[in-house]
Amino acid sequence: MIRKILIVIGLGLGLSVPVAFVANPASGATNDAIAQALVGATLQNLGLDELSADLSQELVGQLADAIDAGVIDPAISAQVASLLENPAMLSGLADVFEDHRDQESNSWSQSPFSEEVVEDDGTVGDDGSEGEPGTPDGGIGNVPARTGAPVENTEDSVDSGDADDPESSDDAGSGGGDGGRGDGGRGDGGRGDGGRGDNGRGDGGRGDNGRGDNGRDDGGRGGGGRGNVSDDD
Amino acid sequence: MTGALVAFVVGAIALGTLAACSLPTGVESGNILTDELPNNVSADGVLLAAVILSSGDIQAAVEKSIVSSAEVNAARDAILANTLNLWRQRAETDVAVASE
Repeated sequence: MIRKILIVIGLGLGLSVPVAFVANPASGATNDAIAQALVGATLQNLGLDELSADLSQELVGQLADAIDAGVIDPAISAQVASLLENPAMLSGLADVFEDHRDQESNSWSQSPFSEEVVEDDGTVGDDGSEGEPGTPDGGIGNVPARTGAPVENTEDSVDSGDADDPESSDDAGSGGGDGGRGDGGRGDGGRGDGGRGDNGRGDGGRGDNGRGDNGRDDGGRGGGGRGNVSDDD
Repeated sequence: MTGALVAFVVGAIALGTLAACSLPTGVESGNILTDELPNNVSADGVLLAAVILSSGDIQAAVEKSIVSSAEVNAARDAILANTLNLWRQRAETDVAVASE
């Protein structure tokens, strides 16, 4: 009886191990090793050759988590894993990375997560519902200007606005540019209540008054920045 | 004649002011290195987003909160503007400060 049980267990293990490798071809290598190779190869492909040990370790750790989460293309992981013993060959994946990057960038630009969906007048195509709880980071509303780049003069925007004005969100958008960046922004405001549009890709505004407390307090609209910014300047 | 000159000067000033207001002040390189970053943006997150853009599913990464949409936008723009190295420098600084 015991022998039969052992045979069944043996057969089970014998089957499950190969199945696991088929499901995840890269599993022969550790995620850390793949992550390390990927960080080095992709950033080198982007022109970043020198990475400190600390930063590299930080990125590798985060990317290993991303691999665990299934975010990395299994085909690319498998290719990288197969080249781990010969890292010099990783440079041969440059075209793979570039093609993938182009594809992902285009796809991202068209996705609801990207601010590219913000219309030119600064309004959003919808009611900002992507700011609903559960959306990863509040949707686009919290993206200052086009890049999430540094924020300046966070205190100037206090008087900006028409945040209390229920009609003002449209205005904010059309203002475009002036106050731009970020008002609704970041923060909590942006999420949820329709903050998104205001921030409007704001052409201009950046820096100035940005980020707006309006946004934060009132759901992000951003009326915020606009207008008064240029006055201040 | 004087009136025309005054009008010209005033017009020039007004035009200059308008032009200054409309200058794209988006991302100057100095800002990346020194300015306060939004809460949902970290320099290493921007680099990680760049790596995932090259090798993974960036929307899935955002949905799983591995990177923020702001970081993805920053990475995308930095790649296009060839300013990713500035984000690397910022990340090096931030990591060094954090490890102190």
